Amino acid sequence: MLPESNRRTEVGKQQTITVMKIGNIDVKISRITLVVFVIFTIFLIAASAFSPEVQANLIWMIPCLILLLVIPVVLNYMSRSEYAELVPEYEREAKTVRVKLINENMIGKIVRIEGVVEHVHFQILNRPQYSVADRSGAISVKMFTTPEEEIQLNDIVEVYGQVIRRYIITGDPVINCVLIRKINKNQDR
Amino acid sequence: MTTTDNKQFSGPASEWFLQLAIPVIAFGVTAFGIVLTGAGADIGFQYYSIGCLVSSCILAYLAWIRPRKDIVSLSTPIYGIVFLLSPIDASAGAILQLFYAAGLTILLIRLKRNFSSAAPPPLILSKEEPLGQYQARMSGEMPVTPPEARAAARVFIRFAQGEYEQARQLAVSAAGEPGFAGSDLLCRAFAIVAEQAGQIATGSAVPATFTRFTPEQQPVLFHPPGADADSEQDYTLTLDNALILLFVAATGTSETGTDTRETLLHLIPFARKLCEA
Repeated sequence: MLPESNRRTEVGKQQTITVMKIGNIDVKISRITLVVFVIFTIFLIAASAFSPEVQANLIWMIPCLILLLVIPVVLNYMSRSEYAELVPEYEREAKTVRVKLINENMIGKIVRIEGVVEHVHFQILNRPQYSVADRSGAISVKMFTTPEEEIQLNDIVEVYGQVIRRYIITGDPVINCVLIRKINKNQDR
Repeated sequence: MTTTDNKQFSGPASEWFLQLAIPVIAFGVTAFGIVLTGAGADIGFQYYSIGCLVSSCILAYLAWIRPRKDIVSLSTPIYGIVFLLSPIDASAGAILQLFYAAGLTILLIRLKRNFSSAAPPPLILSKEEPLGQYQARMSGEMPVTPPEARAAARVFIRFAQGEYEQARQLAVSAAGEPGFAGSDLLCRAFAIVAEQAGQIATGSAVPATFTRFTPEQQPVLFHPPGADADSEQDYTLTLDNALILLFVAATGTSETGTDTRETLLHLIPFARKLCEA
């Protein structure tokens, strides 16, 4: 397994595309989902042009192709709406702590940290992981859905989340992020 | 039971004999029953479980006389009575009683390890690490009484667990504990943790003025004051120093109790993290 520093995703480019807005939720899909959809569409068109068998099965192949887009959209909406419901509770209960104070005895606690984004991983998969550092140390911040805004390297952010173990039942403490957003430190001061 | 009878069953030597008797009687009577049954004795095998019953009663007695009661050991005679009263054939009875005797032996070992009346040794860290060196240094410079150690342990544990409001309350009330004499350094550490834990609990920003260690106390702190430190760095370093002091106070004595000691053992990585610059 490569160390985290070698798995930096490409940052600076938008990794997700907002498909639609349902209520207050911006539903996003990742570029990779679109790429997969386009590739399979091309395959299907090419196959149906040359194969009568494929043409005969288009009636279920086309819906499956559409599902390649629909399912990620639905999952993204579901996860983002669930996280959106949690945000007020987390904002109310979170304690602002330094990264250094977070330890495995705080598993399950809701915390808020402020820091600089030092690394970004897996943004392309809609499951971004950040390394956020403040003056006392750095910690991994895992998000299991797309954040509301695009977070890039060196952004100053605040993170609301729950302290969990990195591998669910074992590993060092990380933050299961519910909300990550940029803050302007100069304005806050 | 008279006082004289109590003396007969008290003391390390008699307790050692009783501990030895548990496996000897349990396995011995069962083995005797196997031999007799093999020789053709027409006695229900259930009656050979009397050995296991006697052993379980001894185990329950040993559990009873300890300050911390082990409910598992205390309940073993119930099973002994059931085995004695339940008819069973020889082969199944032999296996059952041998397993039960093994279980009693394991429970005896568990009783000695986890429910020992002896005070656990203090948590002394290796002097090869900075925290261990600091602990050794502070054991001479900051003598700690058992109530102070217990108070420090409670505050440190609650803070490490993220229970900031509880930590604040415990730190504030620590000075009121019976037997709490409290050196100035330790009292200052409690005051700092109380203040900053309260700030975290209420979500307050770094205040302009806050409780600090006095200039006379600075030389004994783990993190020396930084010459170029800004207010926020000073604030956080002050808390780290206070927490390290509480940890050292909590671990330098054996009077904090087994459960607290186990918790502090798990908090050593957190204490080491506080020591990092």
